[in-house]
Amino acid sequence: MGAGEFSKESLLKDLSSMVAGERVFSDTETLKKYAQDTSRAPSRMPDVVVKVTSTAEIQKVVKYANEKSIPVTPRSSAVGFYGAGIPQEGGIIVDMTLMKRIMRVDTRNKWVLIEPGVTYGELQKELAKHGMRALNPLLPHQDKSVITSTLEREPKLTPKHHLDETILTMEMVLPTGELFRTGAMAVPASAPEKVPDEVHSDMCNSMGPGIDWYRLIPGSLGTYGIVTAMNMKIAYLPVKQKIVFFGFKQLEDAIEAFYKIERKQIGDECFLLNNSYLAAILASSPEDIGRIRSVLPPYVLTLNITAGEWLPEEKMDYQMEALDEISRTYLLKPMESLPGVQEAEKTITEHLYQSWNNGGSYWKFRALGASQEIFFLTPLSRAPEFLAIVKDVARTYDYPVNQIGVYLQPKQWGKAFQMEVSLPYNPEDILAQQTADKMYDEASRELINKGAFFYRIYGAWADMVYSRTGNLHATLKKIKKILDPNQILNPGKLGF
Amino acid sequence: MAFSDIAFRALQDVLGEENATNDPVVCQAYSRVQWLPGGVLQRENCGLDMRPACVVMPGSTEEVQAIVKIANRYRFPFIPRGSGFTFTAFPTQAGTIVIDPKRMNRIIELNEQDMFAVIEPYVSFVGLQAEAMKAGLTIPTPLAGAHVSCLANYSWHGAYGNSWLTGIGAQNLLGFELVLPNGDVVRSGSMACPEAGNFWNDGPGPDLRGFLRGGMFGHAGGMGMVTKISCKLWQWPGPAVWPTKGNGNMKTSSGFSQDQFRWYMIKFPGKYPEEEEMQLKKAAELFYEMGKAEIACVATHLAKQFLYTYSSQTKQDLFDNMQKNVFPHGFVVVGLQATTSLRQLEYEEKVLNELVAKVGGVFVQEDEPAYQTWIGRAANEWLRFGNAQRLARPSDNFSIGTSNVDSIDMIVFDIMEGNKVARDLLEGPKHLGKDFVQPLSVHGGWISPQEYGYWCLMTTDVFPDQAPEQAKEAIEIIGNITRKQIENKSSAAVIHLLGPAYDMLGPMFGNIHLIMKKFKNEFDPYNLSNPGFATRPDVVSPEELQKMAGGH
Amino acid sequence: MALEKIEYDAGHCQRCSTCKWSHIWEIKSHRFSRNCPSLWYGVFDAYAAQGKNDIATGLLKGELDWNTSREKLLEIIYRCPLCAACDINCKRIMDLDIIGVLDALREEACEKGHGPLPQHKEFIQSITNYDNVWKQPRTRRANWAKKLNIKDLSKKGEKADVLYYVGCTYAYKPGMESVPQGTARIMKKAGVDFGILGAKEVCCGGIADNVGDKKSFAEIADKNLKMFEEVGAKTIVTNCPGCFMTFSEKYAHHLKKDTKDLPYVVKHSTMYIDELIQQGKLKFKKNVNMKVTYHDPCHLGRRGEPYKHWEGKRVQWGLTEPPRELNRGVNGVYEPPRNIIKAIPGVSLVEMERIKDYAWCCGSGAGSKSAYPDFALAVAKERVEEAETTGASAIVSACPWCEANLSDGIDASGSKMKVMDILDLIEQSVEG
Repeated sequence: MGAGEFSKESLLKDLSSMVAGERVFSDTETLKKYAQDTSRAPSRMPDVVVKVTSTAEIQKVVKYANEKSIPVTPRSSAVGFYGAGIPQEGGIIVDMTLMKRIMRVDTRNKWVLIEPGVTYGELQKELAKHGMRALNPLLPHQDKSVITSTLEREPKLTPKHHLDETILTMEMVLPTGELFRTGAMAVPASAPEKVPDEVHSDMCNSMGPGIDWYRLIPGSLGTYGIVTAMNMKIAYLPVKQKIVFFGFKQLEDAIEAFYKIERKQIGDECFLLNNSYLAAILASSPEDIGRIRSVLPPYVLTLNITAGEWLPEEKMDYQMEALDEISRTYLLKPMESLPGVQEAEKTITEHLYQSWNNGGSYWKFRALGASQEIFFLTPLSRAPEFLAIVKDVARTYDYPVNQIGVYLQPKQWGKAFQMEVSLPYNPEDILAQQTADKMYDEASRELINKGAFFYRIYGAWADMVYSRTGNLHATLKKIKKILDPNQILNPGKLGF
Repeated sequence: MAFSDIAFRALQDVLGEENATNDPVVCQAYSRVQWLPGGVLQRENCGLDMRPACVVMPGSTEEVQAIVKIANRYRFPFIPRGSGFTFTAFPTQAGTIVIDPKRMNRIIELNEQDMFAVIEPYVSFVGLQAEAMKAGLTIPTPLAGAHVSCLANYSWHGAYGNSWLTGIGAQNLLGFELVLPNGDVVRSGSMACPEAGNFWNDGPGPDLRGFLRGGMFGHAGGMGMVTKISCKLWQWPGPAVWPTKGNGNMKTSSGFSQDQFRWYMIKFPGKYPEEEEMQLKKAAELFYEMGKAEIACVATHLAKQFLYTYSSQTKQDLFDNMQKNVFPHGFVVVGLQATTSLRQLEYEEKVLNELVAKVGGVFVQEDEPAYQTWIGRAANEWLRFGNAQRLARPSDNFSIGTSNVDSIDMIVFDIMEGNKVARDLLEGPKHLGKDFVQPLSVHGGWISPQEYGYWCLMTTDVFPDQAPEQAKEAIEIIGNITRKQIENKSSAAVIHLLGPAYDMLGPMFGNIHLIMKKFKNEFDPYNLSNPGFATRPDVVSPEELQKMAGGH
Repeated sequence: MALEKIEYDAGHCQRCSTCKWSHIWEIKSHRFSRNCPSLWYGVFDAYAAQGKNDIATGLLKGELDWNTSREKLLEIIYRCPLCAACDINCKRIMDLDIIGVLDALREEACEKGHGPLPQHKEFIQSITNYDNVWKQPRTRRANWAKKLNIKDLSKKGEKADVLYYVGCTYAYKPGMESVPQGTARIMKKAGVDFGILGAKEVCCGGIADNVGDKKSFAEIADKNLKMFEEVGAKTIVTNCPGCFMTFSEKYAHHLKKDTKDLPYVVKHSTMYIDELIQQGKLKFKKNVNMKVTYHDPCHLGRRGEPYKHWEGKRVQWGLTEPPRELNRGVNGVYEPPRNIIKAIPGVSLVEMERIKDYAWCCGSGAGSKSAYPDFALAVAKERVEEAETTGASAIVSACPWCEANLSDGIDASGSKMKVMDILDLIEQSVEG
């Protein structure tokens, strides 16, 4: 049988022969879980879910899918936020959440090799045994796969320039089902974790072969290949650290000081949240969010001053001295705690390298149960302008602007910032849902029109962005066609 | 079809007669590359096929598009280039035109606040650095020399003096504008999005930088011409104007305040060359420790060839210094920079002292000849420019012996292996040594850890007398080193993919050659964009493959 | 064959582009980072030293042909002021005699009967006919000295410590007579025992050598050397950097000697006057309230180094036997003019970006202005634009060719700056 020639039964039978154990699912209850995620992307049912445990299994499934022209949607996270893992045209879900091996830790060269199903919680626990940590975004969901997060380009909490692009090498299954390894992993060895033992490679070169896959694959939403192993940079845990907060009445007030702190390369992890977003993290319960929000400064910049094992006091000292100078220049008052919020600095410190594990809703949804997030890159100086756009849109729908969450994350010492605005809503309230959808749509359009750089392209953003970028989309499509001639890998994403 | 008078007239119509020439005298200046023995032999083999049929000088992206479209119309090959330093910027077949970007030399934007610049192809590193310094910023300092095109270096491959901090070109490229081989324009990063400005890369969606460049050589000019890039700038605590006074020659006529920059040289006691490996391993230890501590802006191991060539004022001076054994072995050079504050610099100095003691290193003192010669004359160049062209000083020609990108440990291994191969050929029965400057050709290597030691780049160099016979010997050495790397299953093989090497090594690397050919076929269906060096679109026959393998 | 002398140098060009830019140490802006006027104007690489290296190699290998490419070859070879910026920049990297390559190309052109250009031939013919490049009567050569009561050393019995050699341009060009007149007055004030050659003064012949007519140059040089010997000249002072360089470097080369071994010592007037100031023999009396910038003439600066003669061969690795000391532009005459300017009360010196060994040429040297006036004017305008960024009201220089061309540049660009010879500036304060 060839393309299109299959029945559900034959599909299940064929797939079951490819994976060991009972790991092929087609019951409605299971399929429904993959049909939607926390985003407002339309629900789309797959036909079957295959929970794989090895690269070889993935290859078999993908090759089969090519023969039959069945779409394949890869998933490595048990949770989805932006619709990337929802199949657009049915087909097979390749679920890699069971692939949880932390295959190798190289503390000398500072990398870890992992499989797609490894979460931040799992990884940080393992790395902590070595005195190290993965570079993580702000409080990722506990089920969020590290590889998914990295490929989605979720910005890291650390603004250090060399810790922004963390991918070293990858193993992938190409859309045609062939195995491909990138960078210094490409030297033939029996398995990625065996590379340093069997060949002369420590997998510390991310470039090549041919092109720089470590840049082409992220942001492709699984349309250019399925990553089955990745070694990524890790860093040492600090020996000393201290959280410092700065409060601001308006976002505009934070701009110059924030630039300066980054320019002087003071501290490590650094982020700015508005009171709504920060309250969602600090509140002991969702009911307490309103109170915490009311006692917090409208905007809070959090900075983690750290030192390693070499003269840590002195390192802390010079950073604090530099910070004090900036404080004096910009008339800021650095705080070691947040008035009205018990042990805020302790909460932050404990959560800095962790995923959200407070039980209940994910922190971004805590306020009202759900939210729509819009995120993009911007020079810091334009952040107030973009926030004003979102607020204007909110006002047209009588949406209370004090509910909007704001998050600014510096990248590479402030050369760019990811700005995230969150629009919480009650998912039980249909009208509120619809309002949130409209605001999301309108605000996104307006932001894009005004120059917010949407670099992570989900759902409707594809059309909004690519309709304005000339030949870029056509070029990406050509690359897609070459890598995926049968167009089976996550079709419909990115406008492909 | 081929390059014809009609095609030439079409080019002149678009560009103006003064910007398109087929005069053989003018074209002669684009016909020869001397450094790297491959370049010498290329000229021997190709002869006047290496002289372009025409040189064109566009002044804008639109003119580049027009040139490429005319090339597609009349089916003649074209070579996009920057300053034309490297061997891939020259024709290998008759009827090729060269696109010289000299008229595209604007710094379009320099953004002090968000630390980036937008430049055209003929902006040199040094011009960009001079402007950036006025804004308290700087650039990575290229070993290819600050005169080369910043855009071309970032789009292709470059190594830098301060890449301990900045990484290489790949890490410094932000958005770009590319005229594809069919004449279409595509932009990447925020540059692609109207109103977004030029401040960043990353998408939208998949990052086309990943397609534009790759490995060491990427498409080698085979994917059209980059006409604009935005690139990162870095903090610069030094003066706004490089403080020189003229009559510079090789003396350090610029001095920096010790509150801003400090230099150190470190050596590892031992018998040289017998204990070279031990010394290199200790250097590696120091880099690993410094990486953990995240200190310094420059950290590199310089082998004799760098130390002598960079610091010598004349060729005779170089040979005299070698006679005096000013640099008996390689040294680690470290530069500290007060990015945050003077206290930060002082802190890093204390940590450096501890780390050097820990690994068993010794600081070279200010009164030692090595310190006076290196720090006194040349160290600051690592912040201003890393002008490795002076590697040509010993024999008026040089070649990179081997190179690799991997961990610091692996690089040390590669250096030792490469030097062993070189030594066998130079000092063994073949007696090639008479044709290579010794002791520069078999010792040490340039170890350039990147981004606080997360990865590392290295090169070794050989210094042949310059004549085709010696070029062949140099190729033999390089070929043997490469063969050894492949035998050793070294990661170096990944980065050596260029032109014919794709077909030879591709099957080892997931049939990358077939993927690259598909890219080439799709975007350059007539194989017009630098066909001599880019991967050829068709599959090589077994006979040709056999011939190529014999060539190494 | 001329090109055979430089086959090694031309053939070992690494194509690094160092010759195309100011020395990297010295660049202070993107705008003023270029150093090669020929390339800047011609744009294609052929006009740079790198291109000329390739062309020289091409001629040697028979890849280029005079018969089919005469016009373009001549243009590339001669539309160049031989400012030597390329030469000294290249020497930061390697030890190639780039100025030797450029020189050899001109010599080759002449040997083959294609050069020099008609405009240059006019100059050389004028020297033959009139002992000066300007087709002016010999008898008028010393008109500038009338009423100054200066010894004429060409007359029997006259002797002096110093031979003041004026040069064709200062002697004949209307408007420039103030320079030799001022120099004479200053030397008198300082009590210097000097004389001139009067109407017997003969062109130094530098232009002949510059354009590759080595035979004519040799004849002129021999004539002058005989004259110097006859008048017993031990110290020659001249205002013209072209003459200075010719007497210092070219005559030494002609005699196969080092400059220091010549039978005379030659000094540019700024060197001499600087010495007089150091010795206390010259004092400045009057304030001259001006902001000025100084333009380094190429023949005084980069090409003003004492010459070291060499005859030998290249051996392995390109070393030379015997060892050769190439001029590297470091020891040119840069400080004396500056010392003078700084010594004048009220004058404020602001430097351009491209100065000393990396100065931007005025564009007129080595026959460029006569053969390619548009080129020379464009190069001058570029320099004027650079001068304007300093905020100075005047460009001061010490070369008649620079001053003439920069003046043309000022006129063409509508700049309000003026050009002054350093002597005119000195006189304003010394005269008091």
